[in-house]
Amino acid sequence: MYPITFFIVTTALLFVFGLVALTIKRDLVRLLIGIEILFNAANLFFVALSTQHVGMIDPLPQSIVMMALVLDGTVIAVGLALALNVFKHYKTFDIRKLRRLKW
Amino acid sequence: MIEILFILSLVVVSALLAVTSRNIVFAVIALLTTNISLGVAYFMMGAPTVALFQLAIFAGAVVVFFVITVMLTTGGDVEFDDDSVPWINKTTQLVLAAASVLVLLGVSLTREIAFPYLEYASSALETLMFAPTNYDDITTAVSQFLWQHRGFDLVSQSFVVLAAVICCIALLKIRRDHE
Repeated sequence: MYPITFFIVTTALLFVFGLVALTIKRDLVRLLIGIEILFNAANLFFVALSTQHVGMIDPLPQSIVMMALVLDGTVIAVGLALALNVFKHYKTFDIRKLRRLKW
Repeated sequence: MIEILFILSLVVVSALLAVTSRNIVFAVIALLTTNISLGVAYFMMGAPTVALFQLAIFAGAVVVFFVITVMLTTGGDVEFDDDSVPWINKTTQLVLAAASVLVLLGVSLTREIAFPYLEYASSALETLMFAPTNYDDITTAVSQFLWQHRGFDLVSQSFVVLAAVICCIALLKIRRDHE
């Protein structure tokens, strides 16, 4: 069992990196990279909290994180398909130029 | 102890590179490094099935999707010229700083106060926890738990994945029609 402080710091840093990427980036692919980093932060924290019992393993968090990983993969796949379609139509990934998507 | 520190610092540094790198190909490679080192960290923490899924899905399939998207579109062009931090306005900077402070505070507070998950795990699910002797025990227990206690979730998840596949096919089909 490793000290949870390491994982707390890593999770917080990953979360902030993902948040920064979502806030300041304009490239659609980079936004998806930020979303994936956010997913990784949540999953890491969940698994880290579940391994805090010395010598014991709890199968519930691991199974939930496994399901979350599959769903995260589908989210990213659909997002990338959307990005490909956007690039085909507008020839750019810049979200500031995609004003035509407004109502 | 030092090995998990090394792996976690590799995770943080590569995630930082994935966010800050101006070339999108380097960003994807940094993301691949993040995912692989996270898989190794899961394995060291005693979660081999999660590590397997992380390596297969995040470090495998998702990174391949990213590479294919980059190859079919910009092909590794450098980021937009004016895409640097100063273009964001003061409000965004304030919101970002406040959110970062809140995340750091919230995550560090989980150590001080009784986090609900820990109580839940220590009381209600005491009987489901077990002491493994090797990695085979963990993989067997997790797969048994999935099918016995989370069967409905698994079936629902398969429908979600099916919907996502149909969605991707529809999106790419529209693209081909326009050609």
